[in-house]
Amino acid sequence: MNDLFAVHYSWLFPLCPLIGAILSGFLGAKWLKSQSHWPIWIGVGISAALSLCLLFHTIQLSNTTPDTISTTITWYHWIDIGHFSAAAGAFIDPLTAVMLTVVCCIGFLITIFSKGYMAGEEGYFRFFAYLGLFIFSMTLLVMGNNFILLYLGWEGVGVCSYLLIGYYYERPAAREAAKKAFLVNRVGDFGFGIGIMLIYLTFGTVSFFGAGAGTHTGVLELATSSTLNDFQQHALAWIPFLLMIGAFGKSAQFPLYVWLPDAMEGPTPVSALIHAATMVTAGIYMIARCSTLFVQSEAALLTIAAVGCFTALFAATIALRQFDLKKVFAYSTISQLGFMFAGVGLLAPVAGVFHLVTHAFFKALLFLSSGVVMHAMAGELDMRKMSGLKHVLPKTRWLMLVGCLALAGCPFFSGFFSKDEIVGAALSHPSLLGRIIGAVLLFSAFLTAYYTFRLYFRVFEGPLVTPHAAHHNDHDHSHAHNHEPLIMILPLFILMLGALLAGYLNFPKNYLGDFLGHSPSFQLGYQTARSATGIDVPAHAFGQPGEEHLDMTTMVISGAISILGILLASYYHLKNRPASDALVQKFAPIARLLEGKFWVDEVYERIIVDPLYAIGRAFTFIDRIVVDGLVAIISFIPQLFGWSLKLTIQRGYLQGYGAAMLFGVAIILLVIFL
Amino acid sequence: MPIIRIILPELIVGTVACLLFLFGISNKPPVRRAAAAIALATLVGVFAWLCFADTTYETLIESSAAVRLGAFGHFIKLLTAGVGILLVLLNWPSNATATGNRALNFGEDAGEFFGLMLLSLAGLMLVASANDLMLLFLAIELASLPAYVMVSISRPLPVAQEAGVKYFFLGAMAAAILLFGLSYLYGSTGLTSLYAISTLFHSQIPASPADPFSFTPVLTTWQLLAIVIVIIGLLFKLAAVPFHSYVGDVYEGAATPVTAFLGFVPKASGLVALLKILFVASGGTWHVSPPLIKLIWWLAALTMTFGNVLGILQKHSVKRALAYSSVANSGYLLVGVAALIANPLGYDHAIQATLFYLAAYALMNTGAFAVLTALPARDEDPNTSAETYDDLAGAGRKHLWLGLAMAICCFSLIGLPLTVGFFGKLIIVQPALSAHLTGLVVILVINAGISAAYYLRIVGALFLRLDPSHGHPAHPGYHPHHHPAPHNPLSAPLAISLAVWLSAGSVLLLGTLLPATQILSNHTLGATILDNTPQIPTSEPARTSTAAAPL
Amino acid sequence: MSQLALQHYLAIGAIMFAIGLIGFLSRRNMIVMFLCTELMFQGVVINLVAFGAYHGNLAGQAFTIFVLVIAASEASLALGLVVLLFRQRNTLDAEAWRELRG
Repeated sequence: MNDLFAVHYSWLFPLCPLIGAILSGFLGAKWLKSQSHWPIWIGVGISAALSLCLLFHTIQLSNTTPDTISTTITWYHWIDIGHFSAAAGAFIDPLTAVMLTVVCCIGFLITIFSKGYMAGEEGYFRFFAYLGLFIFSMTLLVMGNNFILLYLGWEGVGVCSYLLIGYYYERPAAREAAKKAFLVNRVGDFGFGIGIMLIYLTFGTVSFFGAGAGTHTGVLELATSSTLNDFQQHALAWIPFLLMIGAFGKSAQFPLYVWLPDAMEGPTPVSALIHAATMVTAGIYMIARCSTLFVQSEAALLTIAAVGCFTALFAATIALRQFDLKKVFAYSTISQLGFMFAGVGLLAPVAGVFHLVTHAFFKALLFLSSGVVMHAMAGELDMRKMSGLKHVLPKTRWLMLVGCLALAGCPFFSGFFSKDEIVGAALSHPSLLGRIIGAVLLFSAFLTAYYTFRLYFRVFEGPLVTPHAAHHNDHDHSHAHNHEPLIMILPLFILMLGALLAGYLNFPKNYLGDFLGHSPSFQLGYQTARSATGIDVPAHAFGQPGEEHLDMTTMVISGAISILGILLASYYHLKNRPASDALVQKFAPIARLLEGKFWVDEVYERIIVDPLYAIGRAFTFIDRIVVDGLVAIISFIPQLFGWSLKLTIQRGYLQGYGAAMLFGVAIILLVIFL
Repeated sequence: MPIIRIILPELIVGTVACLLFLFGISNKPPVRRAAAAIALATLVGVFAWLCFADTTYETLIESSAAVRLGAFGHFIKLLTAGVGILLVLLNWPSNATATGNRALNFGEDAGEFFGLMLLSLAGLMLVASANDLMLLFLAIELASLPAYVMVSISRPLPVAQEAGVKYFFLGAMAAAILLFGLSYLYGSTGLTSLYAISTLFHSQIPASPADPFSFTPVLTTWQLLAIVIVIIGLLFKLAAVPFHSYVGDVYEGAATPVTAFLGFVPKASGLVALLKILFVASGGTWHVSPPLIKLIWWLAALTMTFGNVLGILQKHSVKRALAYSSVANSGYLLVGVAALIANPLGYDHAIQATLFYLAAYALMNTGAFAVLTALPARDEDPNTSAETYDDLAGAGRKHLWLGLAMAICCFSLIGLPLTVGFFGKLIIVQPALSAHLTGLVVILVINAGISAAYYLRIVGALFLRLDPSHGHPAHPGYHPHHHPAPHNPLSAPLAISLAVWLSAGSVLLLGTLLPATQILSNHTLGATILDNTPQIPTSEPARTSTAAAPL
Repeated sequence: MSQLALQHYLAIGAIMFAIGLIGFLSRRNMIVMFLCTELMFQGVVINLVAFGAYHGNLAGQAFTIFVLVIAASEASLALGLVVLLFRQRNTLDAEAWRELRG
């Protein structure tokens, strides 16, 4: 497949956004100004076109060959120190192609949306430069052919996320949120970094597949070897847990999820791109990519599944009592990421990646739509202050509705199929824990449907209420100020098509699954899973050829549950709004608990931040008294010496200088000749 | 005409200097400006010629005439011409009447001023060529006497004249001491040719010494006394302890561009003469008497320490702090000399280190003074540039590029990586370690730490202290929307900016671009033969480190 | 006793040098200080001439000529500087000039 254009020129993927970022970053402030989006549009546009080209060509290839499709391209030799070498290069297989398409295409749509959304903001060029830098890092992350490059992209997206969350740096909340995101991610990255070091120590390389799949020179293949020594086997027990910590941090899983809700301080396109569609799914990508490492450890898989499941439920409950549109979607993102983790943890990586793709579409759509709302409401996002916006934002209302239906898992919308696959994988998992997880996920799906439509009905249906009535004197549709400019609605429309149709990627046949199954990660992962766990892993869960599986029962149940959630929401939030208040009154303690987000932040504050501060103060004290004291004493010695010199001979008397010189001469002569 | 070829650079420079004195008769501004331009053109020409000239003087080296030249002398002349270009640029008369620039005011004497400068540079070149006690003395005086006058006429302020008088009187005393030593050297050998004296001392090496690896000539007491007194006389030029006390006053009183001049020319002449005298005293083997090794060891240690502790106390005048920094740098150079005579077998790396450090020091010191020349003083006195820490307060943010240049030079003087000073310190520590001068290296490292305090104070004043005349009473950190707009990078006159950028740029370049560093270190490594190859007998064991040092 | 030997000349030279040194350090009048440096130079000159006669070559005398040239140029320089200073403060006291100090 090396002859494919997009593969041959794979370095264009990261390079074009990078050049765009450099151009708008350096020329933006002075020359490009309000045209700063052009370099990014062009750069990301090229990458997006290339990614589609790559995707279609790879699909064509996959239809003609039953083998794995993969290739390794070395861009250049990057690090070569002693025995350690890492070549900067790409590893391209169906998984990469899918991820690249998601990143570049959704990224492109969001950059287009951003032109309308960010118009006139202070530091317009800065926003686009960061965005380009982000897409550069993200493409590196999903394309890299070794762990070092993966880590580089991993940290790169972290930095861009930090910069973009703190984009409105005049606002203290934004600064704090950026700091929080960065610090919490450090915790995860610490584990991730140690994991990569351990991988290098264990296998002596950091490449995924060495010179290419089948050469058995890369980590992911060496790990499946049957001739591992003791150390390697012990290390293999640890590596998945270390990598997992990184994934939990980046993908906002319990207990490291706390940064994501605060990250909504960033501009809305950023929330859509980074904190919903792409960056936060890096953890899923990494686990799917390294499935050969993970499937060997049942404990690791179950940990992932359990944490994912708990996070899905936990975040969904918090979302029930949030009032800020973006906060609701943030918790919903955490919850949906939990679904994905449960999927990959329960040996169904295809389902996980499938949900990743559909989620990328509908969550980006939802965030951008709430961005339109925010734009129209002059920054107000509190759903208690608005109602019936369908009269003001008729197009957005439909877009939002499709997004909500997809998120709620309403049958025949994209989220339904992907969520159902995860739930199905869980329910058909042989272990009891798997089935419990399936049940919990079903309940979370019910909550998801409920809180999604609570939001929709509250904001778009019912009598018209806007937070700034004075701002909208004429409530009819013909007001001069257009709240839905084409540049913002057009990308949303494309995303809406995605949210409508992405589900059919893997339904009724496992098109996506079969395609992904050509990836060596999935194929090897499947073989390893069968031999290592002894579980009869269904072939379709890894996209391998085998019996097609269509679990109609689960589909019916999850569809019914979703519709039930929507109906419940319509009762409480459309037909009989006071009833919901009564309900809250009735369960006031629970409502407070949810509104307080289980007080996790406060608990962290008490048990982590405060003790650290205390230790810090202790160290400061020691530093000030002991270390500074020592330094003062040490620096006092030369000063004392200097003063004595200065007072004796540096007094400005010409003859004093002469006498001092002569004194020195006398000493020299005495020392040498006596 | 071999002799002419040897001294051609100093002949040209000296002749042009005489020509410039004739220019001094005229008092028209264009003529004054022309004097500077002619001086610059001469030095550029000499520099270019020396760059491409044949450096093999073997055919000429055998003559025992009054001048002899090897690759060492060639390198010194090249360095002199190169730094001379920077110094002429720094002294460029940029005001309308061509009487000087912001830092400097030589009135209508531009012809004389640049004539004196060229004479002094010619003197330094002549020191490199000299092969006779008389010529050596004359060359040293030729390098020094114009400097006395330059200090005095550098600006019409009493301090400049006070500095000139102090410099002159103490210099005359030191010259008398040097001369006394030279007369004894002549008296105890009956010879004045350095080559002849070296041969004589070589014949005094015992045929079968007690220590088979020692090739130290056995000097008579008179000869040793003569050598010691000559070395003492040279310490004044080198600004080493105990002859460092004038440095603070003189460097502070002189106009800043002239201070930069004083920081290089007399010091280099002292160092070159010191190396020559030690070479002669060792009979051409670099094996000198143990008392001399001990003497240089102590001089190096004390000079570094005195320079830095005095520098750290200067809380008012930056110029004075930099003056003591130049004393400390003499100490670092003496570490190289100590390594040279303590381990004669590794003589080439030690001389290489000393020359490399000299070149590095010349660049960073000139750069630091060049920035001071370019920055204005707080009170806009027409004849002063920045001299005190108060003048520097906040100037780095106002003149961002000048501040950065100063930061580069200061980091280099500390010896931080990515600057040439780092390699300078590194390369001078290596031979000292292989000569087992561990104590001296420890003292050097401690001194580098002490010196960081006042160099960082300069950088801190530039960037962290608030400019009091500036209207922001708030904390000095963060004004996102109204930065004080950085001035035009070339806020100083063009020639001075050029000097700043040439010196700071090469400090940075030679510290980051390893091939460039390599070129300089190769140049210095090729310039380690003073007169002829040290006559170390071939019977001795193979050298332990024949491979070139990593640099 | 009747013959003047080398050491006598050297002693004279050294004594002249020492007297010059002491005078330089003790006298405060700048012109006298300068005369003292001249005295030091002349002490050296006596050394040189004596050594020249002792070794029977002319190098010492040639050196002497050059030393005298240097001494002369230093004299002109010194007088110029001292006159400049005198114009400023009307005094020749070396200690009046200590505006520059540590």
